[in-house]
Amino acid sequence: MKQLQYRLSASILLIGMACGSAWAAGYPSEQDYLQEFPIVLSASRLSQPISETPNAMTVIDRGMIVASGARNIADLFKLVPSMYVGYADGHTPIVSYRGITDEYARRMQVLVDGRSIYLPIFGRVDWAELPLDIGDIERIEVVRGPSAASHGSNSVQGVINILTHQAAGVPKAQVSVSRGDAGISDVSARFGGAGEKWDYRVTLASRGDSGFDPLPNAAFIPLNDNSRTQLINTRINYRPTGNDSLDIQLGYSDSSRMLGDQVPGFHAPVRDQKVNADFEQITWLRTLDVASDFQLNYYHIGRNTRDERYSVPAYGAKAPGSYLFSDNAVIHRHDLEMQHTLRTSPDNRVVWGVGARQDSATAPNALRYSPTWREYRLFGHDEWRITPASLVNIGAMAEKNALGQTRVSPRISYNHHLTPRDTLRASVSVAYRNPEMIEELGNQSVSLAAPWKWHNISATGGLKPEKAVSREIGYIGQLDDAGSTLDVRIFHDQISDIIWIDPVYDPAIYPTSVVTPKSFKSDFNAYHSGLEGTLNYKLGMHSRLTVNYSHQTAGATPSRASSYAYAGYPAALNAALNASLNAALTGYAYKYRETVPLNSASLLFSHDFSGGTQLGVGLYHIDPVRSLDAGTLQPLTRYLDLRLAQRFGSKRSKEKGSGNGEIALVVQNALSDHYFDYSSQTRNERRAYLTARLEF
Amino acid sequence: MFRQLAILLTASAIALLTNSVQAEALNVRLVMSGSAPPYQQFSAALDKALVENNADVTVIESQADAASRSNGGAKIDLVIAVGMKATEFAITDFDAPLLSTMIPRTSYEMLREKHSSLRSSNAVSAIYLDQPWDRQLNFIQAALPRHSVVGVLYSPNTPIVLPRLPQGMSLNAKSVSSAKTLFATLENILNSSDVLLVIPDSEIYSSSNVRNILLASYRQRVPLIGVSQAYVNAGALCAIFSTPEQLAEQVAKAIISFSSDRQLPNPQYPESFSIGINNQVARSLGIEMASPDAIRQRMEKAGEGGQ
Repeated sequence: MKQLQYRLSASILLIGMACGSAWAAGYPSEQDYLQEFPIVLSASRLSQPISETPNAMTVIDRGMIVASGARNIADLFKLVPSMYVGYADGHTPIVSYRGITDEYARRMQVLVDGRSIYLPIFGRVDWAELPLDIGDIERIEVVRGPSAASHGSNSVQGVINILTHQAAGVPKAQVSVSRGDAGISDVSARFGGAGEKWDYRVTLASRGDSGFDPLPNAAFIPLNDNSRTQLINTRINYRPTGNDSLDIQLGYSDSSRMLGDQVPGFHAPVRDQKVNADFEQITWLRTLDVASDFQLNYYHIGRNTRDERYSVPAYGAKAPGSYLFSDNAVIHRHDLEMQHTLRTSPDNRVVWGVGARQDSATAPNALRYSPTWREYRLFGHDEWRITPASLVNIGAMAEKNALGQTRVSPRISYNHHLTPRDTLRASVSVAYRNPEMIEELGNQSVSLAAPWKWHNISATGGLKPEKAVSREIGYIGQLDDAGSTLDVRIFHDQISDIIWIDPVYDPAIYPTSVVTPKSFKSDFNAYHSGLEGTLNYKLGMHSRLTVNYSHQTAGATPSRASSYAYAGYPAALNAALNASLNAALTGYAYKYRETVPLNSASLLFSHDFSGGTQLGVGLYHIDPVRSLDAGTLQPLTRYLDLRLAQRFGSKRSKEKGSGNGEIALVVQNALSDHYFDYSSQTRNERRAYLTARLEF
Repeated sequence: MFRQLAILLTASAIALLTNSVQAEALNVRLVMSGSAPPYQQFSAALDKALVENNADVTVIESQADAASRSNGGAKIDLVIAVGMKATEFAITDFDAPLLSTMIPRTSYEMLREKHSSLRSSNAVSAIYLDQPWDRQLNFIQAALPRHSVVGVLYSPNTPIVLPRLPQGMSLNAKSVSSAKTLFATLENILNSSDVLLVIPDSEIYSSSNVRNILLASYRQRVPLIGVSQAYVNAGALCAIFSTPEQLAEQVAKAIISFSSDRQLPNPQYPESFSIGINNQVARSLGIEMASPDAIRQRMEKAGEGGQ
């Protein structure tokens, strides 16, 4: 590979003049000018620019992923304004947007190449076992705000849309090895090829660490949170004709993670939980003409969790022995969707489609029975450019959920370009979150010494979807020719019928359970307001700065007062239960306010030095914040991550990407020796790790 | 030369014998490289232009592989070779003055060089298919004033002549040593360029590669500048190119001029050109594009006139 840089003074040069004995060799013919091509950037492949999207959007591109030094996908979301990332333990990251944070952050849709990984039974994303390596991610688009019209159900607070490299996107074979503190030991290999009709890429990876440590000399129970995940992931693109593209993705992961306490808890002795996850996806894209295409997408996700253990004797005579506790679960998701994109005129684009999903779960110790849930959806979205300066996005999704409830989620936004570089956006949208299996059908009960039971969950059912109405006004500005942007918005969201964990005092269950059984009820209405901003600044060709800031407030009010009147209980007991539940409702409402940090900010700076040296600096700030199910308030948290990388190789050229390899040092939390986030047990110590990557 | 003279003399003799007062119609042999739509468009447009100009020209069309020098005894005054295959065929198989068209300049010059022994320079000329560098760069500056680093991919065997660059513009040219390294080189060039300019090369821009090149450049938000409307339809941001019709008009003018003075024009670039813009791609990339007419005006202002 030769590289030539010509400046103004460059005079006429001839390079590589062939001797010209055979005219076919290298000489262009008119065919090279007149050949026909299939339409590549068809109507559905062209995305809207950020100044024209109906929602605020954050894009985390490959450069930012690398500069952040993150080795867990979840850590990348620290670069999204108002997004919370914490760790319940070393292998359980918690990602939530705009508060209501708990270990099962349920209110955000998460897609990988259009595949929803927001899974039953609990409605959560298991980031640790995902059969996806961070190195395969090309770009992440985070829609901040409800987006059911474009992204389907459960897009209540936002949508994380992870896009992986195309099948042709791994031109070089790569091997990467990381070693570092906290037992970090990762290895990955990827390779691929591109051809006339077929492209493919394959990734094999293994990642693992020993999790977090408690504070030395503290009376905390040590965390047992070692984990290791091994995965294979492949993407194949086949083009039988110029207008048809078949994208096939397959993945499998096998993970093992340690759970439980060394000083054994009743039902949580130290053990390994094993999870196998797999997915198969096939997407057929047919380009009908320059203005329309048709897409059919099917995928299946399977997940098998094996977690059985015997309890440690506790509760005196109620549970004198060891009892089998099982969190075994098998789930399957099948999803089929048809989508048609068409440009009806140069100023109007329509996307519409239908889809169906089937979720089935077998989890004898979590659910009342093994349900098969089916839901159906119809969606449509129209982008209409009324004048060159004004654009309206109107869309809606109608869905019938598994509980037979039908909801319509509309969205409308108006984007006005004050100048070609300054845009104002106003939007109103509605989205619903369907109840999860555990919320509607949960039943977690283990028999102990008769008549005692460990009856942890007993869902009463009859839930309805949570509803979110979001309003926002935003400004998107292009600051210079280099592509620097500023994106600021104020928002006000109202969420009604929030489902929370409600204690069950039913005389048929409560008196014989060693724990207070829990149910789920739609008992709260809440609001979220705030201001968010992102500055993306390009300082010349070699430096980039991203600054995110968010100021938020939230509040919730119970929509009912407790009114227990159990027939089997004396009036005084019913009154006491009512007082206790009312206190719980008030307490939840109080805690809710604290689930958003008043101010949070992140900064990512990257610079390419000449000579192939690259620096990445990430600085994060979060005001005190509470997670609903964590005991303590997370104190003000600030930390700094650093990444320094050096490319090397035989190539003389020094510009980006031409090296044959790279060594990178990442230091997380470089300025202090520890901080706490979600849990006061998970001590984020200073961690350093070294990554070596070879390309060939 | 003698043969030509002989033909000319014979023709004069016949003219005298028939005592015709009118000059005889110019016999033009149109040799096509193929029968694909662009050749047909050229042929139709040439006929139309000649008719519109009341040119006294007889055109007989044939394919490069089927053409025979003999034309039922009629002499051939001028051969128009359309495309590379027809040009090479006409250089070797015809003696009449030859005007080649729909051919890239480098390829025309290579053929001239290769067959220099067969033809004297004044008996051959060409109207190229490709755009001159100055025009292309002028176009990029007029269409995308904020995109100053122009990336170019070429294969080592392809002769490319790099131009003198206008102020504020730089060229980032990289050679692709093999098909295997294409996408690595592409990634590299996309990382360090504002636009990617297509230099036609069947080893790089084959129909299957174009797909992945377009997808990669779109993902990197680096617009592609193509060389035809087909590129624009496929997903290139824009292109400057001359259509078969535009070439045919220029060839028609040359034929008419030849009929009066028997002189071929000097080898030249196309006078007329078209500008194609994919507004959907521009919008998606957040690029403000002027209209083709406005771009043309800017180009004229900057120095090179468009027709």
